[in-house]
Amino acid sequence: MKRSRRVSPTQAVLFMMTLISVVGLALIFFFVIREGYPIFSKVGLGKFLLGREWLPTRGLFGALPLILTSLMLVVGSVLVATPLGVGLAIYMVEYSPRPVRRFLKTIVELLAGIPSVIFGFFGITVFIPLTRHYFGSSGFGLIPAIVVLAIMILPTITAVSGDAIRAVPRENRLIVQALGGTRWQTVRRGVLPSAFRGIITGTILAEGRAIGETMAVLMVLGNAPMMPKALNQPAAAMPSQIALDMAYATGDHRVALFALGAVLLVFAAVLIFAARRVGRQRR
Amino acid sequence: MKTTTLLEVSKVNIHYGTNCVLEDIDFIAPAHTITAIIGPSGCGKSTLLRSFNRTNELITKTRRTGDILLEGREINDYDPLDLRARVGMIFQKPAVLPTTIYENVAVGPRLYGTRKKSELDEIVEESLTGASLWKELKDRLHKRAEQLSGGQKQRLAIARTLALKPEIILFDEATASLDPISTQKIEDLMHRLKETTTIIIATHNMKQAARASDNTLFLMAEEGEPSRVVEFGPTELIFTNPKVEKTELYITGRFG
Repeated sequence: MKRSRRVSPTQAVLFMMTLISVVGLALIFFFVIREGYPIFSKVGLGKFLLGREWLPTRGLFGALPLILTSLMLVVGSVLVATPLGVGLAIYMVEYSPRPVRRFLKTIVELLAGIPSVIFGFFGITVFIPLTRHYFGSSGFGLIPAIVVLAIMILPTITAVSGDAIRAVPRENRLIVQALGGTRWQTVRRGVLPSAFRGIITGTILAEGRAIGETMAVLMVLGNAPMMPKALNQPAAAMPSQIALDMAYATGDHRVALFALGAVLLVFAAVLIFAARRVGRQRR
Repeated sequence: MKTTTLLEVSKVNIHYGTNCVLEDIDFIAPAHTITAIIGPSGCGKSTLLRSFNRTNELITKTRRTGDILLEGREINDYDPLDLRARVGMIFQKPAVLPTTIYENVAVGPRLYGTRKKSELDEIVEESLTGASLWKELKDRLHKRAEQLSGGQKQRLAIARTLALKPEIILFDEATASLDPISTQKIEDLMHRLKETTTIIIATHNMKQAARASDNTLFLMAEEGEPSRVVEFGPTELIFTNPKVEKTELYITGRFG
C-alpha cells in the first residue's frame, strides 16, 4: 500500500512524456486558432467557410474552393486506393505463397517510407504527362493529385486491413470451407464480414493522411485557388495553399492562412475520432 | 429400413510429414447410424474425422494412404468442395459468422447459387426445424447470431450444415465446450438426425459415446507408435463386454 503511493522514477518519466504530448497538442490547437481567429471575426465564419473566392491580395478570403478541393482529393484518393489496398491485403493474407507475401510486404513498407516530395516528382514525371495526354489540359490538376495520393495512402489501407483480415478467427474460415466454399467464397463470406470494421478504420486513417498531405499535392495540383470545376483542371487544396502562401503572406492574409489551418485541423480531428469510433465498435 | 454401408474406411494410414499418426484404420459406418470415435487425447480422432471430408487438407499437411469410400467411391475422386457439401462438419468451438441467424443458415445454399428468397426461406425454416431451433428463433431470424448461447450456436452450426442436406455429419468434439443441458440437446438431436443422415462423432467423453452411439471405434497408440484400432463394434458390446482388455481398462477409466 505504501509503495504504491510513492511515484516511481518510471512513472514520473512516463507522466512527463504524456504531459509533453498532451500539452504539445493543446498548444497546437491554441496557437492555430488564436492566430487564425481574427479573420473569422473580421470576415465572418460563414463567409470564410462558404466564400467562393480566395484572393488574399484583394482581401477576399473565401476558403470554399480550398475546402472542396481537399475533400475531393480525400474522397477521390480513398475511392481509388481502397479497392486496391484491400485487394492487395486479401491477396497477401489469403492467397500469396510465403516468399511472394514477404516481397509484397517489403514493397508496401518501402512505399510507406518514401518522402512525399519524391511522390511529387513521380507525379510530375509520370501522371502529369499522362493526364495531359488523355484529358487534354496542362496536366496539373485533381487527376494526378488523386492518383499520387492514392499511391501514398495505399500502404496504410493495406497494412490496417491486412491486420484486420489476419485477426479473423480461423473458425470463420472453416465454417465456409467445411460447407464446400471456394477460396473466394471463404474470403467473401467467412473473412471480409469480420474484417469489415478494421478495413473501414484503415480507410479513415488513410483519409487523415490524404487530407493533410502537402508537398506531393502542391507539386501536381496546379495551385489555382478556384472552385474545382473539372478533374483535369488545376485546383488548390488547404495544406498546399498554406505552404505556398506562407512564404510571403502578411497581415490579414497571414491570419487567414492560420484560420485555414484551423479548419484543416478540425477536418483531420473529425476523421481521427471517426476512426476510433469505428475501431471501438469492433469489440 | 435397409442398412447399407455409407462410409467404408480400410487400411488407412495418415501421416503428418514423415510422422505416421494413424495406422491401419478399418471400420464401416452403416447408413443411419451414429459411430463414435473414442480414445485418449492426441490419438488422432479429429485427424481421422477430418479426413472424411478432407478438411485436414485445409489445416495441416497430412498424407493419407488406404481407402475411404463414400457410397463405394473413393472420396479423393469427389470434387473436394462437393464432398464437403455432402459430408458436413460441426467443430468443437461454437462459431458463427458475424451476421444474422438467417444468413448463418442460408450461407451454404448461397454458396451453391440459390438466390430466390422463397427458396432460401424454406431451406432456413427446414434446417432450423431440423436443428430444433425454429421455435426458439423464428421471431428473431434477422437478429445477430453472435448473441446466441454456446449451445444455440452449436445447433445453429448443425442447421447450417443441414441446409445442404448432407449424407454424413461429422461432429468433432462438438459438445466439449457445452454445459450438460446443451450437450443433452445436441445428443437428442443426433438421435433424430440419424433418420435422415449418418453421423460420426469424435469424442473424449466416453459417457457420450455410450449414450449416443450405435457403434464405437476405439483408437489408441502404444508409446511412440501410431494409433491403431483397438476395438470396433456395437457400442453396447464395447461398453459392456469388450473383447480386448485395453478397451475395458480405458472405458472404466483406469488409464488414458
